[in-house]
Amino acid sequence: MRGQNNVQGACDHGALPNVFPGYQKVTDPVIRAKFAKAWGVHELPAQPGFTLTEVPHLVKEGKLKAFYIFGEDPVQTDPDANSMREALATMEFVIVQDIFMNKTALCADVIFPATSWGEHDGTYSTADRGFQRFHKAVEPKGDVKRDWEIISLMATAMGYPMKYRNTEEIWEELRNLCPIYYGVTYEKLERMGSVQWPCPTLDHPGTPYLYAGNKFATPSGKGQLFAAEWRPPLETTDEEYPLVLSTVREVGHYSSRTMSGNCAALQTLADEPGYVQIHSADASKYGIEDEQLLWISSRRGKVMTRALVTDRVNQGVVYMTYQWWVGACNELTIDYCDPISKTPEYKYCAVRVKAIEDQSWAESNLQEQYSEIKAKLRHPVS
Amino acid sequence: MMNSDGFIQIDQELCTGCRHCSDNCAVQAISGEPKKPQSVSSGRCVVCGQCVQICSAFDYAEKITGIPEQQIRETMRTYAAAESGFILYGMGVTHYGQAVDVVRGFPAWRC
Repeated sequence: MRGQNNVQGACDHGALPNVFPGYQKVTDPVIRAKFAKAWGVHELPAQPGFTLTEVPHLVKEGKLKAFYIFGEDPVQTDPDANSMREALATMEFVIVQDIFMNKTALCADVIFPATSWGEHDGTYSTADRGFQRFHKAVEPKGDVKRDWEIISLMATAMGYPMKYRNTEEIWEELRNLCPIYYGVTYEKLERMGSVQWPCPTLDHPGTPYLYAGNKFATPSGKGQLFAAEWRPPLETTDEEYPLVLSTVREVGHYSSRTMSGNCAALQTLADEPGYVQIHSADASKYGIEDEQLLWISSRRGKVMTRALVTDRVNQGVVYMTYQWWVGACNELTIDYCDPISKTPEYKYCAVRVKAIEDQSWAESNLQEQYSEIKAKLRHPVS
Repeated sequence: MMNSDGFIQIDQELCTGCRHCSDNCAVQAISGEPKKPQSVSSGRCVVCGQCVQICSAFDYAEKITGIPEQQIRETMRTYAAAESGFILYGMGVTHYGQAVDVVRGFPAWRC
């Protein structure tokens, strides 16, 4: 399962550092020549780019000076929020393109207001490689543009004239450059509802199963099996930080909350500062009662959150969801990644909890923190 | 103890020398001192896999995960024996410093 809908689509369209659209490698000179010719440029970079989680390190090394972020809130969703804020502050230029203000936008030099999913059209890819068309439901309000229009205008302003009349023109360019998508037209998507790649020809129905007949996409055509010794997480618990923090999701809000945090109906399901789920034995050990506000801290930060005492979770482990502005668990998480996927170790770092004796002080402090963040987001330019 | 490339190997670091495998071996292919790592005679071994099934070295996974060893074995056997199946995972297995190894390891359960 993917963490967000259309993560598959982003990958399909080449939003990965090592491939062009259609999973065609940037290191392949024939592929590079094909894209350079189609895009009317002399050459394209031969080396893979960088992943998001490498950004703070690259800024420290002086290798990254500008950042164009769209539809992402790394200050909220990346590990060790402090190091991400520091990276954004150090960079010479940061653009944020999104539908609402968020914590990352507070660090931006320029903000481009974009349209939401109901205000534009395009395609989504499901987790099983199926392309689906979606259509605009309402006209956008205010001075906003669609993402592809903003990117076209930016490219044109930077000396590369880019002009499309609609998303179908973009789709046509994509499928003509990507053999595995070539047979997927807008007309076919309307007719079939969903088409799964690879779909190499116009009369191809799409591919529900990959590797049929046990033929794999490896040099030998055979599947490759791996076994690996277990490696422990980087930061294990000790006397000072005795609990494991694992970050998770919840029903009430979606991802970073940029999309769902401004919705009154969803706020009634859950609101700031969010919860830390804690086992009843741990709660009584630290003198914490259900629904009480408390401090939770790691070697990287400290935030206020609310206790949800439940035996659904294991003793010794606490869980927080990552979208809250006040109870922001990514102030606590550790910037340590898998060496291949560069995915952070969101599921394991060491923390401690501390009860707050004066709960009425805590409740009013919470309101102050919340109001302060909202005021900042309302008036980003001082 | 693992079935790899068509013959049985005993991991010399993991083997506890409990000799359950030797007691169950139909062709007396496993030898060694009690409480010391055992070895398999590739000449005698008929790769029936009974020793892999009974090996107690996987107990260490129980200590790491907190999931009873028997439950881990049953899950793996059910998956391996199924005509078709897939492991549906959320972000839980990928949000670790060792993420790719785990995902790549899933297909090996079939072997």
